[in-house]
Amino acid sequence: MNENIIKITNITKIFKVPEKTKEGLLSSIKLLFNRKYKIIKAVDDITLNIKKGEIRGLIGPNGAGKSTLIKMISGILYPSSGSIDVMGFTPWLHRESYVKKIGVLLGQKTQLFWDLPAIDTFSLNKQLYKIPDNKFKFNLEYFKEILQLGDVIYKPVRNLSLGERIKCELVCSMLHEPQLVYLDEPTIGLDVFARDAIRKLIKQINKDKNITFILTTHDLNDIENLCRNVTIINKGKIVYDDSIEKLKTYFSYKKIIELKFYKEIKEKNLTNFNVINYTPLTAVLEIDLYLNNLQLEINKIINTLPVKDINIDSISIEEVIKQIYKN
Amino acid sequence: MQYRVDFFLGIFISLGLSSLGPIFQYLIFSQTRGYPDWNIKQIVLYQGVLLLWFGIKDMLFGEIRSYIETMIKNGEFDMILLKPYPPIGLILSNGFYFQGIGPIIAGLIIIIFSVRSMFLHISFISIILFLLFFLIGIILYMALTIFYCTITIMLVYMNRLGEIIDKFLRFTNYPVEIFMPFLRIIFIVFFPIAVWVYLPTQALLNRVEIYSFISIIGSIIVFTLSIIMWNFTLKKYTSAGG
Repeated sequence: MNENIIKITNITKIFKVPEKTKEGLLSSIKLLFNRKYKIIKAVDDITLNIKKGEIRGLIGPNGAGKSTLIKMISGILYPSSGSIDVMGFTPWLHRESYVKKIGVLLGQKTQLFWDLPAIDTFSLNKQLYKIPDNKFKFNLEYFKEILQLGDVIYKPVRNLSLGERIKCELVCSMLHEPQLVYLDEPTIGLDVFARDAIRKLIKQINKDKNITFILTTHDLNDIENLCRNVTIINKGKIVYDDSIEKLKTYFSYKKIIELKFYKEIKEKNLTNFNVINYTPLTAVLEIDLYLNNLQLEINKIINTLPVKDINIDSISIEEVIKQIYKN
Repeated sequence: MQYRVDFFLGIFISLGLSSLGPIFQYLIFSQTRGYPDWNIKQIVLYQGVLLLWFGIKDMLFGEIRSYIETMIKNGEFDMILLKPYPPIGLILSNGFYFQGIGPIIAGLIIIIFSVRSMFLHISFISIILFLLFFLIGIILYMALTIFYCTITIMLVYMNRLGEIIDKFLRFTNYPVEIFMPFLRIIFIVFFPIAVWVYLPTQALLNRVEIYSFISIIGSIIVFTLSIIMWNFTLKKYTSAGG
């Protein structure tokens, strides 16, 4: 069994933020003299372990505390209390030696020089991370080949497509052979082909180099395609920390029945069912298997409604996650 | 093409603007009773050193204010903290502004012209002292820049702070003899801006007094304080949302 590469124990981060309750210029002027603050627990007593070689999904709604947690794990922020051990380092105390072992890709921010070719940023990183010549050349060739970069790295970054830029960002975050890489929304804004390519690459690199990835995203396809385990954070707390497979079975006792009718029906005809969505020619029903027998319910639907087509499915992972966020 | 035109035009304009300072000083000097202990040729030398100092300062740190402000406002400072290098080192190395070359060239020309016209004997010791004060001046300005970066991290929006610093820097336009004794002590001991222009010029004029060396200690203390404050502030850094 793989060892834990990240051990987070009772970590909490509190922010003191100015509070503005009224709009307008007058209210802003008043605040200059009488400022009120509120205390926000962005991360609230989180304990979490991540194994070496894992691709761990970290998801949650906006403002859940994901980024704050990642920023503490990567040494950017000091926590208010608790401890984090990553590969034997306390990130914020041993920041300079620790960040040599990690890579970061922020999908919405660039680490490449905008007006220069990506190769120039790679060369700067070579100096900063003290990457030996042979290792730099070997890794650059490896990434050029699997990312099919060709001469892309020699063009100014401002002239690259988003997909090409993200590939270059990926190279930049991994040239120094980090053992741990944080990917923050790596596929944001990409088309379906580019997204698919990036996912394949992350999988390939994880397999070839046994690099641990932590992935934060709002695209659940990223999570389903890449991660075996997922951690869901909401309001600063962990609300789920287990496998994707288990998450899929989270509401397995519920089935979704999608119906198409060959003639229009009235909504009152569906009063015996739990209706999720209705139009005169279609309906989506939810059946709770703890309370109902699926076979009997299907018979009832077919016998009482003008069914043209029927589709029975489990609750989608997106719906499961929505439910977890809400709860 | 646009980049090249911008570059050469910038150099041309900065060279032109550089000549305005000495002309302005010449007019003040010739129309007033002058500065105590300074004749017109010495003042021209002072202006040469002033130009050289401003050129070097701009070349090394010219872009830092806009760089740190953009970084902090956009949350890009996080990327600096993810590099295996002291963050203040990375910030200071991003301040390079090549158009500072204009005042440097103008300053060197005026210094050479003044030294020759005054038949000054520039000894090895004079050159060493000149370079020493310049180096200490760079360290002091670095400290001022670190304070600026620190305050920007704490308060994020600090549009007028740069103006205050620039106004303060104008004290270096004149020899310290023109100020009252209280200010003179401050400019040589506690916040020794005399190391930027006044003391290097005195070194070229072979007029360095022993008490001038207190400014070296003062500069190093200010620099140490700036680093302590910087490290303290990094612990309080909150980053931007998202």
